[in-house]
Parts: sequence; C-alpha cells; structure tokens
Amino acid sequence: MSTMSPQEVTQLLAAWGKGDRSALDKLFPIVHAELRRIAQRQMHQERDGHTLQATALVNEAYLRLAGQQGSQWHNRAHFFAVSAQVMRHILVDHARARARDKRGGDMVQVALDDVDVIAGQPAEYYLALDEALRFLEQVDPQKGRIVELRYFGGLSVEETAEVLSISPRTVRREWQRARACLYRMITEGTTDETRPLARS
Amino acid sequence: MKPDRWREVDEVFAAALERAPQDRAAFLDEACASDRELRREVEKMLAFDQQAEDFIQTDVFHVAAQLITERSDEPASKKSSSFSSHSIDDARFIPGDVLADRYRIVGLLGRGGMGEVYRADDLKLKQPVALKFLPESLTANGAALARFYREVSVARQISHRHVCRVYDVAEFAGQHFLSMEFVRGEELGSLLKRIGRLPQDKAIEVARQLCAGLAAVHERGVLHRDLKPANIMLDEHGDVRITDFGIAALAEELDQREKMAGTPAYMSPEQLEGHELTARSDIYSLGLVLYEIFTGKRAFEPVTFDELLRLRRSDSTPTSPAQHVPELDPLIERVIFRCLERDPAKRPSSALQVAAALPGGDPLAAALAAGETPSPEMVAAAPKQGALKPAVAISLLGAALLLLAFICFFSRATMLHRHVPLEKSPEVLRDRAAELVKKFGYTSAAADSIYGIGLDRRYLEYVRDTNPSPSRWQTLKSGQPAAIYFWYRQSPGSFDVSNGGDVDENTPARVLPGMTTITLDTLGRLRSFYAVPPQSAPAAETSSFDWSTLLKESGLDQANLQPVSPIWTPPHEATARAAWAGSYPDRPELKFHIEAAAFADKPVYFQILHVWDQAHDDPDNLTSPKQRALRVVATSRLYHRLDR
Repeated sequence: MSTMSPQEVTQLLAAWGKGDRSALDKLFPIVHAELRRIAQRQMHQERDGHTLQATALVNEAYLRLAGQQGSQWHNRAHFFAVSAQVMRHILVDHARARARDKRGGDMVQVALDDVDVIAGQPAEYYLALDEALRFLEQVDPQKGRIVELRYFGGLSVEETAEVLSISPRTVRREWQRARACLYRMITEGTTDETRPLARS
Repeated sequence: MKPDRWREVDEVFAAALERAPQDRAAFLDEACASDRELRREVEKMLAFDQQAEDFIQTDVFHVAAQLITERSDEPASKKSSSFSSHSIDDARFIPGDVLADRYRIVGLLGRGGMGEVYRADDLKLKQPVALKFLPESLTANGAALARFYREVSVARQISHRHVCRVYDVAEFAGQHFLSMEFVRGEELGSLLKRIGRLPQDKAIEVARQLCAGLAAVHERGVLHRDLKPANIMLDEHGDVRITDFGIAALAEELDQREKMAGTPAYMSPEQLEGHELTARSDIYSLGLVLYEIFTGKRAFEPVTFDELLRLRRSDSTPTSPAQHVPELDPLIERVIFRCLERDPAKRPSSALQVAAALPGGDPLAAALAAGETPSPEMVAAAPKQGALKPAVAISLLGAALLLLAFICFFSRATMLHRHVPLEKSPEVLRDRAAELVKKFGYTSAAADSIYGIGLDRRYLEYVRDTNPSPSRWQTLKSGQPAAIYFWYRQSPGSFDVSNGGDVDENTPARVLPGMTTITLDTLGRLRSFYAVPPQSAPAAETSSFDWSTLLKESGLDQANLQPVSPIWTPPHEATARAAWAGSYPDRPELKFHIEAAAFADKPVYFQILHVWDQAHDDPDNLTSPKQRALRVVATSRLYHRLDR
C-alpha cells in the first residue's frame, strides 16, 4: 500500500491465507500504516486531541483486523472492504454501548432528540443508520457496499470503484440514490409499521 | 417491498435523476403510466434526495474516535495518564504558560497517579515533551527526592525504541516535574478495556516488544517497580513504549497503604510484603500484564488491598489462561505461569528469557535486539524440563532420555533449530566425534568424556550486523559455518574440577597429554580439533601426518582450498603447521581460513576461521574487555556428563 505495491500486498495476503505466518509479520506494519493514512485523511489533524483519538481508533481497527482470519483477505481491494466493515463495527459497537450506558438497557428505540450528542448526532442516530443500511444491503447489496466503503471505510469514489470493479460514475450515481434511500428510512423511521419501503 | 419492486422503483428513480428537475414530471407520467404507487415512491425518493445533500457527510472517523476515547477514559480517568483531551479549566497551567524559561505549555494531557501531565514544547531543544508533575508527598521528603533524582539520572540514559525516553527533572515554583518524550499513542490499559484481549499474533508481538523494552531498562540496573497496562503505551505505529519506570512506584511507596489500594494489582508478592525488589519482581508484573494481554482478564481480581494480600499470600494460582481462551498456545500459558511463580528464583531470570519462551520466540533475535549476549541459557530459556541439565542421571535413564532432552531442547526452546539442519541425534554425533578422535590417532581408552552443544555468538552477530534482510537466519540453513555446533571432549584421566566450576567445553583446561576436544557442525562435519601432545618429546623432529585426513572430515572440497602460510600459533606444541584459504561453494562471498598443526604423526590443532573470529590478542579484541568476557559467557554450559 504505502510502501509496497498492491501486487506485493496481495501476494502477502494470499501467503497468509495459506498459513504463512511470516507473511503476517510483513503485513502488520503495512496494514497499520494504511489504516493510519485513511484515518488521517478523514480526520483533519488540527488538534492534538484528534491525533491521539485517531491513534486509538487505528489501534482498535488494526487489532480487530489482525484478529480476523487471514483467509478472508484475498487482495488489497478486499482489505479495504474488510477494514470498512471493521470501522462500521467499531462505530456501531461503541454507539450501542454508549446508548446502553445512558439508558441502562438495550437501546432499540430511535430517539433523535437525545441530548447526548456525538459529532452533532446522538449515539442512537448511528444505530438507526446501521439498521437502515442493513435493510439496504438486503434489497440492494451493491448500494449497501458502496455506502459501507465510502462512509465507514473512508474511501474516495475512485477507490470504491476500484474495490467493486465498477466505474466511478456508477459509484457516484448509486451513492446518490443510496443516500436518499437511507435518509428516507431514518426520517420516516425504520420499524416495519412506519417504513413504507418495507411494506409490500 | 419485494426486491423486484425495489429495483423497479430504483430504476425509475435513477432515470428521473438523469433528467433536469423541470422535465421529471413528464418523464414520470410516461414511465409509471398507471402504476400510481410506483410514481408515489419515486417522487418521495426525489424529494428525499433534495434534502439528503448534507446527509451522511459526518466524518465517521471522528465519531468513532470520539466514542472510543470517551469510553476508555471513563473508568480510567481517576488515575490514568491517558493522553486524550482533558479539560484545561481547572488545571494549574494554561496553554502558553512558560515554565522554568524552557517549557511552553500546550495543553493538559491528563491527571496521572502522580499528578498532572501536560503536553509542552521544549523551547531549548525545540521538541514536544510531556511534563509530569510529582506529588507533594515525594517533593516534601528530602531523602526520597534525592533518590528520585538519582533514579532519573540513570533512567535518562536509557534509549530504547520500546521505552519512553526520560529527559530531565526540573523545578518550577517549588513544584518538581519530569520532562519526558511525548508519545502520540494510547495506553495499553484503555485499549484492553475497550477490546478485551489482543489477537494472539499481535499479543505475541506486543509481549516481545515489552520484554525487549524491559530488558533494556534492567540492563541499566533500573527496576520498573510499577509495570502495568496503564504504564505501557502503544504509539502511533502500534509499537510498545514502556513509561514511568522507577518513578511512579517510588511516589507510591511513600504513600500510605490505603492510598496504594488502587494500583497494587500488578505488584509481585515480595513487593506487597515490602521485601527488597529485584528484576524478577518486574518479571512477575510482566507475567500479570501478559496474562491480561492474552486473555483480556486480570489474573487476580481483588476488591480490596487486604483481599489482594490474602490472595497472593495464599498459594492460590490464577485461573488457567486457557480457561478464558481455549485456543491459547500452551507455551504462552506456561511462560505466564513461570513469571507468576511466588518464589522469585523460579521465575525467568530476565525479560529476554520470557521473550525467548514465547511461541516462535527467536531467542537470538530477541537478545540481539536488546543488545544482550545470547547465552546458551537463553537459547534454552524455555521450559526447564526441556533443557539439558547436568543433573539428569544418564546412568539411570540411559541415552534415550538424553536423546529426548536433546529433541525437546531443539524443538521447544529455540527457533534456531528451524534454521539449522538437525538430522543427526546427539548420540550419532557423539559416536562420530569419538570415532574421529580415534581416527586421528588418539586410540587409548578415555577415562572420562563429555559432550554438549555450543552456540557461535560471534557468527550470529556477524549475520545480524552484515545482513539486514529479514530472512537472514536462512543463511544458517547449510549448517556450515555452524551457528549451533556439537562439542565432545575426552581425557585419559578424570576431568578435575576440584578448583570449582563445572566441566564444560573449556573447563577444566586441556593440560593432560592425550586430552582432546573436537567440535562438529550439526551434520557431523569437523569444525575444530584440539589435542594435547605427549609430554615426552618424539624421537624425530619431523611430522609424518597427512593433512587430508583432517580436511576430508571437514566436508570441504580439497580441490578448492589454496595452501597459504599459517598465521595463528597453534595452541599446543607442534612439529608441523599448515593453512589453507577457501570459500563455501554456496556462499562464495564468505571466505574462511583453515589452520592446522600436528605433533609427530598426530594432529593437535584444526580450526576453520572466519572473519568474525578474532585472535585473543587482536588489538580490537583487547580494547574491548567486555566483549571478551561476553564471549566466555557465550560458551555453552549445556552438557551431559558421561560415564561417571
């Protein structure tokens, strides 16, 4: 990735998948550097607090990635896909824990008026978004993946296109429609009764 | 909505988006025709698209990072020095304050167990630093403060990539503070709190780095005294940095027992009981940290200080780590339990031994990384029962046990074995050694003999220093030159060690005529040979020895050897000398020089020398007495006594 060619990384991933532990040793620093690159691009480093938060985030994402079965990573594109998934899990896990901490129980209800706000949104907002995305993934897997890669994985339109082997133009168009769809589900609610899209 | 229907809506929605807003109504008239529900759905989507411009633009990385750091701060905020954003409102200093004409405060990083920690810029050295304020209890106690200054003066000499650098200690308005390296990272403690245990591969890596850092601290004679996850940082590269060695605990020592209640969870039994501490006390704490890294659980979960004391005083052992993590490598469990032995003497004697005992632990790499001598003990650092022990009574258990021990030694204790060919059992090598000694003309029966395994540290260091490739140890594969070698010595009389010491490769010295020492590489090829010539001079002053007898056994192609002038004096009296130069066929860049000597019709000396072999009186060698001492240490003491 930053220090190796995509081909080399893909080869290492393949070797790891076959059980070559030394491939993993070479991958660790690359993966870490790659996650750092994405996080830094996403989080403008204007304050120390952010740098340090980014480090914590990268460490966590990295450890979750390292804990995964190597065989799941087929190539560099796959790595991006998996890391986007990991980022999504991190966000959702923490949002859920946060919601539970505040409520003292499992949070299912969506409450947009919650005062406890993270980066402009309450923890529950992210849970609702995740739920809406899960619905979208069911009816339209490609849109689901585009949202995951772009939103959770921090990938650009071009990178997303590369990962999914589609044109950047398709990514832009699908992204626009996915966004409208998610927005609608969040706004109208995501329970079966209130979700017109789910009614059939 | 059924997937088919969804696709229909989506297709019309997509086509509508392609058109200018004013053309969309006409398009929908045509596209939806009489399907009114379809039209309603698409119109809704178009409306939401208008409003969704700013939707999911939030930076999800910020959100996740914010959540993570907030959560990990919650339980730790009381005592942790977590480097995350803290309110500056009630801090003693505000950004912009300049302390001692040198440090400009940038912000408050946290409140540690000792006091406030600030991020600052060192105006003199133009680098970011962390300033740690010391508690009043320390600064008010003159003797303790003096001791603290002494500790700092030693600690600031420690420079290691896994140790947070200590720069200086200074005073401002009666407050003492420490300036140290500013590490961009987070505490291992808060990471563990968030994610539980580390994946095994990463945990092993963290454990190794911890061991290397701790070894570097110990090498300077500094004890950490308070090793725990909160004092271990993972920097921005995910690498370990040990902080607060020798310092935090010093402050706590001065405090009352009740005040300690928050931190003693990682103390060794001897520390809890107020006994003197050694490096092995830190090894105990290391064991507790490793337990937590690998399992995500604390080894002991005491509620109060007294309960902790009781837990530790009783012989209760912690729950087996494998109960928390069934797939845990048994080697890891074993090394953790060895660190947690109540009796310090039973714990590994160094952090490097711990590193070597971890799965895949390359003891030499660990040792060389930390700048320590890889003693054979370290090579054998792993399970005691696997290492060769002189006490193993060969006479009772027979050679089978020896073979077993040998196999255990190579299979468990070291990774070196993976790089060195080891087809031959020690018995085979011993028989071959004895046979060669006979072949060289030393036919009288041996009254005493002994053999063992040696490690050529100078060769390994040479590989480390000259070959930066990660696969450098692969070069050991040919077995020649030998990184691990087999040695055998025999004597016409008993080995006399009445002056003390154990019998080994070099002890007692070869003095008795007929004493021989031979070393072979692991494939049985001759590496060196020494013999003490007879005391009574031979009738003729000439030698009738055929050098090819020796050369043949070295496995080197004689056709490729160039006769040269001898340069090293033989260690024993000789009547003829010879020398050759050559290189290995598979590694032409590696040159060697062979020295040999004979007395009458028997060889007394044979040695294959390489660029890393220095004469004892070599000026370079003499200027570094430490290295000479280390070399002696590096000689194997793993041996078995035979025929006793």
